[in-house]
Amino acid sequence: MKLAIPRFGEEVAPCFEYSATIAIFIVERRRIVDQIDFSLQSREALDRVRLLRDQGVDTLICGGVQAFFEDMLVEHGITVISWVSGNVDELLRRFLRGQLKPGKERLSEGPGGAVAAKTVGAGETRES
Amino acid sequence: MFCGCNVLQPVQQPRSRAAWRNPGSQGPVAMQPERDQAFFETILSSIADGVFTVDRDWRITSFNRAAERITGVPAEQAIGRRCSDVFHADICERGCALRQTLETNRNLIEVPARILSSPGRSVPISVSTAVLRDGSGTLLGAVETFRDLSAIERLRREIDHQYTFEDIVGRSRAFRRIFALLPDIAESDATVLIEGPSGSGKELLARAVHNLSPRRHRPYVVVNCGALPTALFESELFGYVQGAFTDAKRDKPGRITLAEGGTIVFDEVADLPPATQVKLLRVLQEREYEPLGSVKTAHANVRVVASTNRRLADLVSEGRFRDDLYFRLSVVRLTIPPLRERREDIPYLVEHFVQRFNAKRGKQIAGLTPAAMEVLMRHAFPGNVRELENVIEYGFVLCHNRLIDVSHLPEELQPARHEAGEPQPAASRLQWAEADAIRAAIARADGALGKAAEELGINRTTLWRKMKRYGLTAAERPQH
Repeated sequence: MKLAIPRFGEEVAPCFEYSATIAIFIVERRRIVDQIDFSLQSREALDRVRLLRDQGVDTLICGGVQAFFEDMLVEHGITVISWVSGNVDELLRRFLRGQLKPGKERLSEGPGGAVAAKTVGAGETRES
Repeated sequence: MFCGCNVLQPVQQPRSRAAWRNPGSQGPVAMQPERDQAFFETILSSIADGVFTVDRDWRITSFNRAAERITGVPAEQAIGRRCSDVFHADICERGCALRQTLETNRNLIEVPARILSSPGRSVPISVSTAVLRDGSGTLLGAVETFRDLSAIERLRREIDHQYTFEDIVGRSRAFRRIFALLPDIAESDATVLIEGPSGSGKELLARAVHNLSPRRHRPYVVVNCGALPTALFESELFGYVQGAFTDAKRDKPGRITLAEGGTIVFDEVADLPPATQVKLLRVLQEREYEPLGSVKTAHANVRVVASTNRRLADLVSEGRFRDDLYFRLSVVRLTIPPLRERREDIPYLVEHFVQRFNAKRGKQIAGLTPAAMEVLMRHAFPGNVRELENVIEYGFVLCHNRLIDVSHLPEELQPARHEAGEPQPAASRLQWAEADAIRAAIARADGALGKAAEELGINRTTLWRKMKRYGLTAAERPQH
């Protein structure tokens, strides 16, 4: 399977749409066997959607993402684990151990109908 | 709400004039530390702009009430996290304002940026930053104030008609399918046919196709095929040269020329008379045309989008629309379903319109009461999204509270069978919904009861019995 993580240095990029680097990992039998980093000059979010689709990515782990693009990715058959932050390597370990699930990292109700991310960092989950 | 960190305490700057005065006193006073906390909390809580502070490791140390509202993140969740994990801004990676301020020791004023609020909505803001130091000049961190520009941006888009995909509100299955096609549609130059009932948002989708395409910086020209007389179609579309006819005093560019390099939209294309269908077909086939009176052939470098509120395939089978033109237009066909078939989008649309009218009317309406929302969820909306927009606008006129209630909705949405504002028994609500579903199914099946029963998953006898109970006939149309 192919797993993509927009990265900013060693951390997950804060925002999928504006990420300058997307790392794609090839996972076989719960192990990373290869990694390709794509540098993106374009500021177009659609280019990132196309990249993931064209590369046959199965799962995206990312920070913030607009609902519109998340829906678009899901419609292309990509599992999206969004609103995640922290160290990429640590997140990979968590994912391979089956500890990162779509929706689990999602948002909880905040004041005034607002929502806030539940997971605040790799291995660190905030109670809402 | 605040963490009680020392960065909130007033910074003593030797060159600064006295900044804080005790109310009622004539000069600056030295405040007690325990009073300082409450003093600054009150100030920060009362201002409309978001304010937060970070330490030298980019961890948030304070977060005011407006910051909570704009980001959608409660202060207790924001404090201690890195600011990029809260704001998800476009400038985090490529030009963080706080980083620039800390590195250059210079304050930044009103830097434009976009953040993602927690529900996944892009929020335009302007950012100002300053360094925080203690009395001895030691760097403590930085402070950022930010202003929500959503209302201003919404008004600007309204005035300029610069709608983007963000204005297409819909998370229903039908819309997700359309969204999934957008990356390919935007990249290609293929002709797009948009079908959907009146008021369903075809123009927004056409604009989104243009605004997502490489042609987005070029013109976007709409030709209303229904409003253009046949005699004028050619001159309007292709233009003319001086002397082409008696009143042609000078050259006039046609709509295709005006759309050069951009997108031309043929709105209500089904209304094109047969004679003009041939002319449009030639443009689509050859990408060439001659302005009236000209001997030179011009090349049409435009992307074509057509929209209609009718099913063109039906018109083709009835012999009222050329099949060759239909096939040329429907390279990519997008169908927007009526609102009654995607009711799950109604709450999102309501929120969208409430925000829009708040910006336009300068009001602070928070939304709808559950009862009013329930009325909308049951309504058939024959006028589709446009009708919903009008309903919300009507509510804005009558509502002087924070929530639009049933009594603020138009009269036709308050039928006698359910008294305005009065909660109904669950059974009657269920029956009302059932009658509405049957009515809609009969309308979709054009009165064919067998087909309607099949769609509803009940047998024909049951359908007939229910119709009798609700007083429905085979000629039903969706109720508004």
